[in-house]
Amino acid sequence: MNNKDFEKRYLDTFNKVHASDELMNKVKNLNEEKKNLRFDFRVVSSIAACLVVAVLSLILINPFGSRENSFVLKAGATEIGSDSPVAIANVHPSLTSGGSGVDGLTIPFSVFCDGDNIVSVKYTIENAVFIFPFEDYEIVMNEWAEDWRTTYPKAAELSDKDYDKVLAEIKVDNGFLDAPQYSSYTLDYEEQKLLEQYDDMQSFPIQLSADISTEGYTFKWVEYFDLVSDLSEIHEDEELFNEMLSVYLEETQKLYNDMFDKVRVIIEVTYEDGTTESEIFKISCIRANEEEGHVMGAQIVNE
Amino acid sequence: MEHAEFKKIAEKLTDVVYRTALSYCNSKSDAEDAVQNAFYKLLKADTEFESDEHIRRWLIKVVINECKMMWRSYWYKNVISFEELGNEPEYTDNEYKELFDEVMKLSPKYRTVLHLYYYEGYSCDEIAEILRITATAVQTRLMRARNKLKEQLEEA
Repeated sequence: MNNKDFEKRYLDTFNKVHASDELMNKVKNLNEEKKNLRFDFRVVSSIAACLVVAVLSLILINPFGSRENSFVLKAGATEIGSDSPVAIANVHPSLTSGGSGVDGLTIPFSVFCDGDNIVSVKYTIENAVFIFPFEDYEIVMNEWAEDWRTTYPKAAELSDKDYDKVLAEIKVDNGFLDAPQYSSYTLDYEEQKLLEQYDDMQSFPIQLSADISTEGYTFKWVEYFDLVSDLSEIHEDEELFNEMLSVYLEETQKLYNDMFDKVRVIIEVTYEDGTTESEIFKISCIRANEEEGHVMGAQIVNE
Repeated sequence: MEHAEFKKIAEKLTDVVYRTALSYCNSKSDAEDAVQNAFYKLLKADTEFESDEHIRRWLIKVVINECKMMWRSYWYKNVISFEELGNEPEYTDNEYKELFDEVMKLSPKYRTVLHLYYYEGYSCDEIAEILRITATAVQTRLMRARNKLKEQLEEA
């Protein structure tokens, strides 16, 4: 059956689907139902009783009254506002194939939207990409895919949701083999909330990845690796080592912040009434505490 | 919105909105609930509609959201089986019944793009705008829906 035949058969089939007369009348009279209300003590007293119950329920369940369209972005239980950045996860530099350098930064993208009347949430990224590590292993390393899925069944399950991914136009050299890279994904509200319950950052199914292999950063990376090699050569001199470590951490933080400087995450929610609302968020880098081995942490703030 | 104007829109678009709802819900009673909710929202809407087509798209968008809200509730996902939700129109011709049954076996996201493309005649870009997904996603869903349907019809 060709496309034209299929189209005709489809049209003929669904032409036979009609709203019932009862539904048609109900819809047509939706407006009239309100006009036709007559003063009737029984009706009024029933409505009054219902209203009392409803108001009491609202007061008890929702002290702020009716639920209006709203959303906030959260990392764990913390709302991400515009006052101060909120930590989301550690930054993972990815090694080049020879192990001689770093060619990208990756963050488990562990944020989600919370709010009222939301149907779906679209996450868009500028000047970086989203990757789905499980997809990477599915495509590139088939023989390992099953192991990964067995080790992290929950992450694999979350990875299999319908993300409506959009491939990125510009590729990022991030060391994640040949994983597809995306500029946006859209999830149903409830499905994206499932991510809230998944806190294993090592296997988090969505990652944000930024590129360092652009011309502007080349020089900075030469300086960075000079610092790293200096650090490894002076470990016997504790005082000098600590001084260099401090410089190294400061430089690393500066470099990472430079790389994240243009990265923006745009969150667009669609509400039940068809309207949308969006907010823009900025990523930056902070030093995590010493106990965590001087790693860098990523944080996010509403711009 | 004036009552006369609303009545005119209801007469013209209830079928359109109902078919869209049925293609998502696969249940007559749920589709009817979604349709009434969508028209009720139209009554309440502050939106300034530029044309009849604007109202038509707005209603399609809202009724799909209404269906999604129903579909994602715990009760629908966990208690009612897919077969139990079926409630199809009466067909005398077996060819139509077969296609209807097979379309309804597809997942809601595939049924919706099929319906908007083949029945409502919207382009991929227009469907993308209605469903707030990309045109590429619409094309992918259309292609997968057609392939799945083809397989199902061959097996049937």
